[in-house]
Amino acid sequence: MQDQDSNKEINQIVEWIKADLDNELSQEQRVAFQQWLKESEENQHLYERIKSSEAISERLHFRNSISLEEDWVKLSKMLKEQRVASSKSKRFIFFQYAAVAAVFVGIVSLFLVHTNDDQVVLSQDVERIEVPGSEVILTLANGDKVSLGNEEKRDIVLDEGHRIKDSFGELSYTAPKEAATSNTPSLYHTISVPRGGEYKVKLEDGTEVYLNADSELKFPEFFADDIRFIELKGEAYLKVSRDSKRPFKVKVNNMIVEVLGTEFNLRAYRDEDFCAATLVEGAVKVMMNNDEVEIKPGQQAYVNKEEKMEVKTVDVHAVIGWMNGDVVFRNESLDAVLKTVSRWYDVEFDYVSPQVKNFRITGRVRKLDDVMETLATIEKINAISFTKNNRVIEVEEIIP
Amino acid sequence: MLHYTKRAFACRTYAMRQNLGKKLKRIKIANRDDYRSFFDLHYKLFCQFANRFLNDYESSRDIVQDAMIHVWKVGSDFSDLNHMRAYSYKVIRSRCLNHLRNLRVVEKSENEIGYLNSTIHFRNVVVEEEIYSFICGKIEALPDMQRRVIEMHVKGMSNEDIATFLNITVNTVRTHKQRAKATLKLELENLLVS
Repeated sequence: MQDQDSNKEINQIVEWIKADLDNELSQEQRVAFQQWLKESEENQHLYERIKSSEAISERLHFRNSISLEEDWVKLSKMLKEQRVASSKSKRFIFFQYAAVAAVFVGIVSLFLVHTNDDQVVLSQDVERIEVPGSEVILTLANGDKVSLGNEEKRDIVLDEGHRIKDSFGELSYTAPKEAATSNTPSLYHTISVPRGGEYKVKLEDGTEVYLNADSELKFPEFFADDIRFIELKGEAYLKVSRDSKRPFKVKVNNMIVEVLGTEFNLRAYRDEDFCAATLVEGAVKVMMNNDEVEIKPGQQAYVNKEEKMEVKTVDVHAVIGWMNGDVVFRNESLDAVLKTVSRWYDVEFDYVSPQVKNFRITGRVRKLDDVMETLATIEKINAISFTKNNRVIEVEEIIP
Repeated sequence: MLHYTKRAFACRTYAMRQNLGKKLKRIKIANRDDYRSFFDLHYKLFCQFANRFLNDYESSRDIVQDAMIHVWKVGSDFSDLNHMRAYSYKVIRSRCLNHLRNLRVVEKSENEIGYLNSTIHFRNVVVEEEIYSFICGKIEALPDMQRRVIEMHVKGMSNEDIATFLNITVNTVRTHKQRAKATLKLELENLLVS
């Protein structure tokens, strides 16, 4: 914001002085300009320096020494070399977008189906491109891997008539009734969402799990009669269906969260040294080693790397902001912010100046934006510059 | 809460896809001609700007070229020319300061670099160079003889010296000056006093 203001100020001053030199200042402008001159000696000196026009001779000399044509030739040569070098990376960026588009096309359709009054026409230019290693993968209990989200709808037929339905980017089940009531131990499947992706899973009991990028969920085809148990890595928002007979338990690292029916957010990324459960509605019990706490809506159970647990009051909207595609950072280190950014866009950060890792960032980042746009916001308010090179982004401090 | 977020989840993915389409189109729009005209309009101005930090014509030109390539790479997303120019200034400044640092010029103390990186210095330099470039542009557009007379005049040469140098009479020098003055219409102290 400050940046824009200062740009505006600069443009305004330039406009005034040009008009002044041309003797074309309007009465109104003259008043404002005089006001500005009176504001500070700095302003006056600036104006006087320009008026004296002592610098003109030197500028004319420098400009005469520059041949636009020659330098343009030099520049276009450099551009060509750059293009050859970056054509690979451009294709990669396209694949990245394509992958995101492919993963999400399902959810979009679902939205369209539910709100018929929204006149949205799906254009046909979206190609679904298979990107190995960057799609949502479902690993079945028998070890088979199925990639999800590349087709709008598909049935994965399991043994004994069980079906897993990957429809419109959402996973759900159909199964013979007798299977659901049988007591045979259920098999656990794993779904992994890559960096740059998101996915939603509807579990057998109706519980909905929204998985953030770079996350993994281990879940059974059917829950047992007395307990519902899943395992999570990364981040997810859970809306647990109420079922007082079967408590719902989530294991994240060494932390166990027990709930009856509620909505909450869980976060436990490998590359971060904490895990956190944030409650939005209802009540949950969080267990860590021999520690046990109950948290209320708006509270967060936070476990640090020494596995010490504490309860904090947090801004819930900031925590679950990722669901809406924007995240609010409050006085967090640049390192933490960039970790989130790298998960969203599947990019790596290379710190040319490691000291910047500890810069404190406060602000809001929207996921919709292009990665460089997102970073430009950070660039604007801090003395940091980002240079993108394929998937690696260099982070450099600009002189203090 | 969930209903709201669920909807947003879906809306966003839709918008994301729309954005993808736009993005691909926007990359195409920034073609070579656009860039050439941006270069023609700003290159000399940017060189002047860089030279305020480096005081070295050669390095200034090199750094501006590098910076313009950088801007070109991110360039498809600028809302307008002003935005692109403002961004270019920032990039050039940062590169100039890095260059100064790498030179490890003993005289360039951290304090001095700190000043060169200050908002007020940036403002002053941009304003000055934009105005100088505006004035130079006008002078450069003058007919050849008028331009040469003015160039010598701002160098501090007397009418007599200019007359001798260009092999014309002092009166002709005066005439050229008056005509130039009429064309330029610039209220400047050092310009066209006699």
